[in-house]
Amino acid sequence: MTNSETETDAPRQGGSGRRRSAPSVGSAARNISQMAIFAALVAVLGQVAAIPVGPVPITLQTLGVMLTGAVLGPWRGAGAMLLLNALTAAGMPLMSQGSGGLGVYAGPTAGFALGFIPGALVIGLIIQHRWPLSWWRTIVGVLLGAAVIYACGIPVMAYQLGISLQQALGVNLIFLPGDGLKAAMTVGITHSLARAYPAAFTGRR
Amino acid sequence: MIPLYSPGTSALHRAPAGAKLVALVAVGLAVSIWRDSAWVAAGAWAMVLCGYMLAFRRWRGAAALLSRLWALKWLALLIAVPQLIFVPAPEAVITSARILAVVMLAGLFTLTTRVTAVMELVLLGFRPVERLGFGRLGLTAERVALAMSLTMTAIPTVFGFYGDIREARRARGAKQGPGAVVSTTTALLVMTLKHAEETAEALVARGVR
Repeated sequence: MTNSETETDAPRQGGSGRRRSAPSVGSAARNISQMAIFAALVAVLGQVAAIPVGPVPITLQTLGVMLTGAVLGPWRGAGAMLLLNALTAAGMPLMSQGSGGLGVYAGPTAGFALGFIPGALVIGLIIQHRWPLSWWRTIVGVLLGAAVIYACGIPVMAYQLGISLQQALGVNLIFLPGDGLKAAMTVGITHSLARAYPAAFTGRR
Repeated sequence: MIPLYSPGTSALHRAPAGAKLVALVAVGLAVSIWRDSAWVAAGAWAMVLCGYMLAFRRWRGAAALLSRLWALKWLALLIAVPQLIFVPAPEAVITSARILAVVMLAGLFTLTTRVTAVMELVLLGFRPVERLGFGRLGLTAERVALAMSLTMTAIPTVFGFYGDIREARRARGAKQGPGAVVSTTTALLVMTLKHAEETAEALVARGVR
């Protein structure tokens, strides 16, 4: 997997100082591996540790989505979610509770799956606006990102089920406590990760 | 992670992925245009039955159909319950049947199409994007393909990390609850990020920059 484009404009080691932003490991390689492995992480979190709330088990998938935006930032975060959606559409059971395949996009939850992409983007944009992280920015980012996911998911559900937006919103109220808890967890985990492993956030700066 | 693809030699298995996708989108559109008609919903279910019977031999067809339906049980609940609350019963039945039929047909596409065939389709669709100028930004079809296959190989690895963390917690007698989720996920993130770093180094060693 070579590629000529970057080879021409990135000088070899010891070359002139006209290097672009990336200081160490090839930035494309790192971006690709981070996006791929976070897509895998979100898939795994969709299968494990189901919290049974009512009849429907709730997974940690949205926790993974929010963390992807928070840790990888807007563009790689959105890229990871795009990968997750592409592989799901290709027939892998990567969404919550092992659902997958094109059926995900024919059902009422399609908007939520696709909403992961702008959701992670918004969370990343706000949280990683500046380093070091600030608590209030993280809280606002996570809440707005979750709101974006809902804003993508609810209209699709309303259209698919032939119910009004308010009614679809009402249906989703069951998931609100779980998602609120996961949003709070995201804030805590993001900040403890920033202390325990700051390289995750500062590596590319 | 095992793909949902189920091997076979039927006409549906052999049909090109692009053609199946076009047919699926056409059916999906038709069903959503005439969404209030009971006949369209019944027709869609007839297609589901014929499709599963065509794709797999008799008993296997019925088994595949039933196991797909069982896999969709939560979705079916999510479709039917709000319907029965907000919409008159006959309409609720038609709508639920219509949505489930399209989901089952999409499932048939997934059951009869290899993941690699769909990935090829994605890359084929990506060529024009590349030519539009995104290729010069570094967004090439090769890199997309690399990212997709890396994700597939990373899933069992990340599952393994999760299993290790769970086992270590159990051995220590750590408690369950929201706190456990936080510490498990933090540990998982650190392991995942380190694995991403190692993978990036391995990619560089193989000539990806």
